[in-house]
Amino acid sequence: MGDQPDGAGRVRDPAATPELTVVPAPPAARDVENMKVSIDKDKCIASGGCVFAAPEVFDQDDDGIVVLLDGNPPENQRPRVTEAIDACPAAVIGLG
Amino acid sequence: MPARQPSSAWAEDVRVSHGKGARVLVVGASAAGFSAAAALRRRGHHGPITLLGAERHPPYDRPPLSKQYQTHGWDAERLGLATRERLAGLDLELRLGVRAAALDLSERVVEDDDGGRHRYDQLVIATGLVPRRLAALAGVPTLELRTLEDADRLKAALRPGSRLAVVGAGFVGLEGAATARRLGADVTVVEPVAHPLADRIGSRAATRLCRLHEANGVDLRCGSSVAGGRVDGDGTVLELSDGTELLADAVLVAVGASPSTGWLRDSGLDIIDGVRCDEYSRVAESVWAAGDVARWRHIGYGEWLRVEHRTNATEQGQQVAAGIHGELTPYVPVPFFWTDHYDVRVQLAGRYRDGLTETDVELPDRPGASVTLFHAGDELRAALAWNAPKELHRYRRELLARFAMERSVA
Ligand SMILES: Cc1cc2nc3c(=O)[nH]c(=O)nc-3n(C[C@H](O)[C@H](O)[C@H](O)COP(=O)(O)OP(=O)(O)OC[C@H]3O[C@@H](n4cnc5c(N)ncnc54)[C@H](O)[C@@H]3O)c2cc1C
Ligand code: SF4
Repeated sequence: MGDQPDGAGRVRDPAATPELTVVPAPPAARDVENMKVSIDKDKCIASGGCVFAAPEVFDQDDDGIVVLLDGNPPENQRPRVTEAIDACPAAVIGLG
Repeated sequence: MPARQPSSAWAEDVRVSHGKGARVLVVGASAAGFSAAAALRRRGHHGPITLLGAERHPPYDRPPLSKQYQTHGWDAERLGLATRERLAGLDLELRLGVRAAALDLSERVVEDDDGGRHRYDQLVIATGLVPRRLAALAGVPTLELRTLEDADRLKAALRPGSRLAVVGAGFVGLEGAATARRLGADVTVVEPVAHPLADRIGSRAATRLCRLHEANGVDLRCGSSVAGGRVDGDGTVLELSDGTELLADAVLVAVGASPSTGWLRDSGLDIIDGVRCDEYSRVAESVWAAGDVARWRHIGYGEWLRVEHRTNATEQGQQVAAGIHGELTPYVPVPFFWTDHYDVRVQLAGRYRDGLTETDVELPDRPGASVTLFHAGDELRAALAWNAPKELHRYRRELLARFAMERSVA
């Protein structure tokens, strides 16, 4: 597991998330390399399209501007994230 | 029109020309065209997809051209609808700087202005709009605002103290005015209509928007039009219908735009005010249209609509992708747009029209913000948010629910 690249490694960083030192077995979903979602907030026009497509990954603040709830969502979110990217009218969301 | 019953010979052909292996040609490589192409790939399209675009740039976004691109130091790359990596991943054949010149429906071929011929199984028309010109200003140097090059020219003209005259107080003209003020230019807006935008967002919001501009130092001259103009030294003199003259260093003409359908002139298609489509955004067998150029039958409203909003380009592009894959559902969106002026973002969901009852929703925690609802009888027809994007959602959902039935009709 130690050779898992960043996403998985970062989540299990004991300093950052102490509770994971108590539960050593990582959740199954983290065995796969997670997606890397990025946003360019300045471009967001507050349409809400992303929240509709992938509510577990995106939210909006009081001004309607996108908030990234999970920058490394599990692979099973990929269809929704891709849908959010396609639904965004301002090309805010990136997927690495 | 109802889906055509395939003849048996045609049915043979249908396996290739429909579905995920079809050769798709998209004319117009901007918001609507790119949306269709991206949605096709997301749906597993493995056939070739070609984007023919008159502009030399990879697909980019227009709304920032009158906003952040001017005021926030964005570079052209930031306007991109997709990063280079994403574009590469979509495996599209991008033919940029290539202008379609003619369409032959029976041969299924689009000819470009270099004589190149592009065959298709499925064609998407997404050629958008071209700005209107003013006959009264023929021969006078003016600026317009539709493309990246236009935006760069405007950018070069906007300096602290430079005098900008804007002709037309529509959304693009007023956004341009706000931007120019922000950059320190002196701005005069000339608009023939007494109450600009009242027919689009209601007279109260329109008045509020005009006041906002005046409070920010814009000289807004409603009820006067441009009768002529001449070059005078380094500047331009606009001759107004009220007999006054206006001296400007630069003139931005923003008097609307017309569908870019010249290339379809001899195609036999109905191109009166955009390309006419049925309720599925289908123009003819294997021909579709999306975005600003498409006029389709919205069965929810029972009217022909052509919508010049950014979100419609995305949604209709996706709708067309589904149609190409054989999933025909009527296109019944609730129109939605935003427009930004100074620190105000106005959004409208639904369709405003004169004679609707207006009510204001209290937003006690948000000073200066408001939501206005427009009803016909008990029925919500539109909702306008003034710096209240999140509050708009529930009304947008309510408006969407109205067409749930129509959306499910195949
Ligand atoms: C300055 C500005 C600000 C805006 N701000 C907002 C906003 O705040 N909110 C909002 O909702 N909407 C806004 N809009 C509207 C929004 O940008 C449009 O609705 C959207 O761009 C429509 O996309 P489209 O793909 O249908 O057409 P277009 O973006 O016009 O793209 C059409 C493309 O087709 C190409 N083309 C044309 N003819 C041919 C041909 N014969 N062959 C090949 N290619 C061809 C054109 O060069 C162009 O690249 C704004 C528009 C502008 C210009
Ligand atoms: S879809 Fe895009 S523009 Fe709309 S809220 Fe999400 S990130 Fe912002």
